[in-house]
Amino acid sequence: MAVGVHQLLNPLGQARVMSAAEAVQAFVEPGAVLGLGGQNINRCPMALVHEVVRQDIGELTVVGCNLSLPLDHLVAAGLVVRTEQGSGNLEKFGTLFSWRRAVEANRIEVRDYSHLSMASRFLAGAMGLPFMPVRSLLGSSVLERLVAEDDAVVIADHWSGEPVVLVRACTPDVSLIHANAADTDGNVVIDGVTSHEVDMVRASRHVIVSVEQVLPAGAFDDQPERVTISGAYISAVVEQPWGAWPTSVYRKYDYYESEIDGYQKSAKAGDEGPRAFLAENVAAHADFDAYLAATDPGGSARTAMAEQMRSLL
Amino acid sequence: MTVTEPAISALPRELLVFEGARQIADGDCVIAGTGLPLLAGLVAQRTHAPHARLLIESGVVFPKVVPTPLSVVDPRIMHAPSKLGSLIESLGGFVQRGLVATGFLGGAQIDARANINSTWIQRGSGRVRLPGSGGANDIASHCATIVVLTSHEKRRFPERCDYITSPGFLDGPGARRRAGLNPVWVKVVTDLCVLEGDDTEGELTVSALMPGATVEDVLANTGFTPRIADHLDVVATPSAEHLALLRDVLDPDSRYFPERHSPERLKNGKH
Repeated sequence: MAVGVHQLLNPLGQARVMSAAEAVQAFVEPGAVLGLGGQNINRCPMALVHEVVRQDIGELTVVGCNLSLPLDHLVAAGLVVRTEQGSGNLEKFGTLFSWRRAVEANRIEVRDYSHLSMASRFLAGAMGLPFMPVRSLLGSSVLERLVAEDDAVVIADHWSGEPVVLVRACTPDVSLIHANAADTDGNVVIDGVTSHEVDMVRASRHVIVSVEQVLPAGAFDDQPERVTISGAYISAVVEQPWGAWPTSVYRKYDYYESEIDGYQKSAKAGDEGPRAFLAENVAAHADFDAYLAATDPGGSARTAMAEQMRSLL
Repeated sequence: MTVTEPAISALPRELLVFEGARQIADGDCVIAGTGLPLLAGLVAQRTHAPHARLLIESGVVFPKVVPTPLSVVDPRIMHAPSKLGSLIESLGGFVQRGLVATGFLGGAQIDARANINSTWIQRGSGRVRLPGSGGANDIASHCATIVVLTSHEKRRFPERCDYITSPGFLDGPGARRRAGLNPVWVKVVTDLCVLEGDDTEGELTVSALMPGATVEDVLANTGFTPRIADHLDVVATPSAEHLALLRDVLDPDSRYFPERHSPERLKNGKH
């Protein structure tokens, strides 16, 4: 399909409320270019990624800026053939160990960008443009590789004559994000930073958004400026409280360090740990609620993280 | 008169924070990730640079940080900002646009020409994959001053990086200009010394030593032979008051200083 006639495949404003299992089955296909929202330890689409793992949808190309836990789960499940990203990183909690091993072993292909150049690719896609200029990357090995792969070119700015890098638009087949709330028409509210997500969503053919709370149609009629992303871009809305657990949702709950740290320690040790984690926490359960009930019986950890977030606001 | 030792002496990695803070002028806009760089920014704000403003790559504009963020999207770093925006806003609207004077970076390797690698390192016949650029390439491409805080180990200071994630002086004098980048001034603060340089020199020069360190220590732990300035300053130790600010106020749970509780990890602060 030529760039510029890139279509949203959902009829505008026809988002449907459904379960995570239904949404993933409807919109995530094997071999898809999959955009992942969230960043690091905040608002990662964990419930939706669990469902992709549960349905064993493979051959994925995963794209995003700061890819984190969701990518590591997908790689550990053997579902990823390629990534295009600004970083694979959990900061204080380390790198993405499953991803690192897969990249080092050439089990997955990787294309590196800076965060700005990757975010600019989504911006191009969101505006129906074939590429976006950036002045980052110049002189770097990052650029050298992208030029060699024909994923970027350096041109002279027509007006100043200065070098500028063109990076190609990135238009995911489907993106997964987790947000604070949405109404039944798919109008999404994100509290806190939005990282790369708004442009990535608008550049995508399909978007599944899981939310802490689904509100009735018209919920934002008296305050439409609260809406971060119009329902025009959203294919499916999934109500999943705690759907980013163990990562945080700004204003709702803090990240749960001990679970993230535990996963990272096991992932660092080898592929067995993450595989066991997925078997125990994803495959063994019918849905994300069952995982939550098993990982946090009684909900005391969730209550504590909600209280911790309130104390920080 | 005898010289009195400070009542409490700073740990090597704490000295990095204070020397990092000294690179920030009052009124500067500074982009920093979590860890020692962020703590350096916060020390500057609470001491000599009350009007310095922080920018966080995730989209947090001018936050009033509370202890102790472990991530650039931590709610503790989103506290009371001017705006909670996006990556495009921080790295495009501020950094690429040229509104951020000073950027703090880390990295696995920094070479004689101040290029930084955070993507791939060669180890024997294999390659080790690192997290990648993140916002680092953007910051190194567009900020006028780059400050690197790092432990001083030979493998971290090769003659030439295996991979240039973030540009320093590239191949030497004039190379940034030829590539289409603006000039940059780089200051690298380690637990042994301070190295600095700019485009016209095209390489790093040792300009100061950490208290107790010698030029021999620096040379023995550096993978290239750096220029040594004619006069070497000794990095100032923080006052007890400033040390207490870092320890009791900014990182009260020692999230970034595990060595405070485990003396065997003192050297280089390895986790």
